[in-house]
Amino acid sequence: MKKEVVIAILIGLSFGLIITYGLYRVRKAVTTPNTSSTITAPTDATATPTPAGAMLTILSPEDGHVQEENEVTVTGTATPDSIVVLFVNGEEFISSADASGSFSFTVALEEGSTILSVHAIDESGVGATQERVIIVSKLLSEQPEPQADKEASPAAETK
Amino acid sequence: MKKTKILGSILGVVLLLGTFQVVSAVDDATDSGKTTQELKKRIEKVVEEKKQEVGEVVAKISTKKRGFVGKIDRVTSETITLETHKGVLIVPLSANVSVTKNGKDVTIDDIAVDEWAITLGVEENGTFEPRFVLVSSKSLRPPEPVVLLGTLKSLTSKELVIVSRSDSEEKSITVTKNALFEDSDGTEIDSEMFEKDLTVLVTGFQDEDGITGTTIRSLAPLSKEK
Repeated sequence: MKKEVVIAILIGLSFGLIITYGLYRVRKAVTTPNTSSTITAPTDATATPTPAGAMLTILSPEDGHVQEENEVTVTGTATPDSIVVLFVNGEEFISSADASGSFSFTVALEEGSTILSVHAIDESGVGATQERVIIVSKLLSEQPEPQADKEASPAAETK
Repeated sequence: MKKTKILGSILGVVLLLGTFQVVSAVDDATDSGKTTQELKKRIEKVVEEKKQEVGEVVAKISTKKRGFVGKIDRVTSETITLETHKGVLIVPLSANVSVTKNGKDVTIDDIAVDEWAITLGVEENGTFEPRFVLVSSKSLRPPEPVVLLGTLKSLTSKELVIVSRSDSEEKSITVTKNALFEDSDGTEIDSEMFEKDLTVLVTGFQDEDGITGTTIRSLAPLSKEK
């Protein structure tokens, strides 16, 4: 009787080993790392960080922006709950920043250049101003690519 | 003896079932490996496809339309210098740059200092390349805007005096016939509703003659009170 029990235990152990090996194989197959293919997330180039202490930041449009549409949305951040005034083409639009400081205006533009002037003023009367130049024109879209070389068309330089 | 047989049989069945499970798990693992490989191939394919799109977008971003507005500070045979609100910009006038004045093609001799110009072009890798220079005899800069917050001291049909909240100084503001008097919600109201010590927001513009108010808005609701 004892002999049979020992044989049964040995058989059990053998199968146990097989099971353990099987489990090991399964685990290895599941946890094998994939060959890495990294996709770098593009950085958000449009977001302008609000510098510390600043009371007004225009997030859009970019200065010197050229567009064909006769409308623009001006967005930005200012001191929370401050009064924000946008001056454009001799007109002014009064609004206020929300509790998080965000503001937005959508205004019509005329053909040519427009200087957008945004003023924010808080309850103590302290203000901040920011300007953006925006140009409405189709000229650049209508013009074919220039064929001149770099020497013939040197780039503009800013001082 | 019977007990041993029964025990051995049970043990055998249990172990057999365990073996089936292992075999099944290995099959699953093989399937999982295949799936992983397929996924990898698919991801690589998508990445390759997107690479091209990203490249196009990057090229678009690095080449963008730009424009500058400024007062002409200097004119030479090859360049014009503009005073923009961001600084000085020297615009080279090559054969590729179209120069117009009030809508008509002109030459460099037709451009004078103190006139205004818009220059349009493309910016590639941070370098601006001009394509158009649109000259204007009129100033392209609007009068300097002003926004003031203060307490109303006096108001006549021609003048408004407020004590500025920021520096406690008295500011005299010219009021024209076109000036708008507004309630706190922006609705137009009569100027007579504005009384002394009322907190007001004044918007307008400033020139050599002083400040001219275009909108005077009460910060406290007035029409509801009445």
